Amino acid sequence: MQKHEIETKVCEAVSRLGQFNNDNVQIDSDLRDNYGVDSIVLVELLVEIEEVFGITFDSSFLTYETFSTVRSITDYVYNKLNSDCVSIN
Amino acid sequence: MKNNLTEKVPRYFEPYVNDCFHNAYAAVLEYMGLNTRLILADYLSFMYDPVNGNIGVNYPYRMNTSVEFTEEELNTSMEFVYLPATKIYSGPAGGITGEVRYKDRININMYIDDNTDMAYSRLKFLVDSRKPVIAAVDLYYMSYHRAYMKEHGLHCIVITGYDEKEGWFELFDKFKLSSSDFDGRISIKEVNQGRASENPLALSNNILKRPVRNLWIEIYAENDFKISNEKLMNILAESCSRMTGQKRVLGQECGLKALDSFINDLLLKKEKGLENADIDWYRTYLNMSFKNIVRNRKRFMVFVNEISSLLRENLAQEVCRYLDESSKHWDISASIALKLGIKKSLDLTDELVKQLSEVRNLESCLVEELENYIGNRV
Repeated sequence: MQKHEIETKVCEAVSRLGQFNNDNVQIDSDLRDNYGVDSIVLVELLVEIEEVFGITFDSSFLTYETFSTVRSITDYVYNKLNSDCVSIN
Repeated sequence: MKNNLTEKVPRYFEPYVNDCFHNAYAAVLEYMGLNTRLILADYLSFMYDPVNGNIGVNYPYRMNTSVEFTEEELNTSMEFVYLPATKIYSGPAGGITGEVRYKDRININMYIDDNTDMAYSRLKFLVDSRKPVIAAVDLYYMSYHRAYMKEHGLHCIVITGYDEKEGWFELFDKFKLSSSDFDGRISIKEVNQGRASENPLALSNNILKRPVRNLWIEIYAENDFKISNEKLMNILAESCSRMTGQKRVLGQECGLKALDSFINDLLLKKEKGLENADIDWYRTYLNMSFKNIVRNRKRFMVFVNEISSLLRENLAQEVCRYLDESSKHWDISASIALKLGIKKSLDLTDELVKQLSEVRNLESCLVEELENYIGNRV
């Protein structure tokens, strides 16, 4: 899957779960400050992303420090999908 | 300066401070010229009640249906603060010097009065006397907040002025952890409604209530109140006693042994399977409680840094390194508990236990460092 496709799906999820300003989600904007994605919403968001992409986030990354923007989530998912492909191959 | 405005009250907010009440206390303490990093420091500990599954730092967190607390419940955490039991206000006789029972402590007095006029009248008297007033409200009635007319919730604000002719209170609410960031004027009617609210509890589907009863808080200190090094050191010593299980609090075992029992019970719960009531426990209760514990660890770091010049070289640095790591694992535990509740998957218990075991190792090392230091000092 292309990175921009992942980005679009993550933006859609932020748009749906964010608590404000969620019409035009920017990939480098801080999720908490700009869209009201607090620590609870963040975990809800990550659970949804796990289901969409069929991946599991490493539990030790389930923090706001790791995932504070759409870009950081996208990068993780992209790498995870690719590393899973590598291991399957 | 107008008679009914208290100016220059610091708009205090620190995310590591316990809750909205403590953030409001801190604003008033700083207005009084006191060091909140020391005054509001609480002991390092952990509590677990195996009977009901409640956890906490220096008291178990539980759902309350009242704003009244006993003296014993209110005085488990802080070396420099004394809180008498919540008191029903006895009328206009109360002066401005307040009740100070312990001269070597800051006295934080909580009052309730179901007579809104009486509570309002006391509030005006305090503001007229240049005292900012910490008042509890139900956010449902606060138009600046996103919970306005949507969700109920007990919250704390600081009132610094009023104008009866124009019908407003001047107040601030800087508790950003619950999306508050207000500094301005709100109608007296609105605030008084919030203060008198029955406040239905969302966690009980609004069946249970926690009436606000016009709760307000008055803080007093004697002129000769001072922060002694002995008491500062006692915060460290008391934390060691609690963490090593030498001291019980509110009848409960504390510290690392309590953490061991908690971890064991999580594993037993995994074997038993998930019941409906457990889902909320993981998703809401444990998530919130772990977050509170993260804040306690960060607070303790702030405290240790503040007293670093009193300690042996590098001790503060070492202790803070452990606390920083441990608070990260508590934080991850909060996310895992929430995820477990959302996914209804007890398989995540193993991940949770792994994080808590990391916490146990780190905090055990930390306590050993502190104990050695205190032992050598004696």
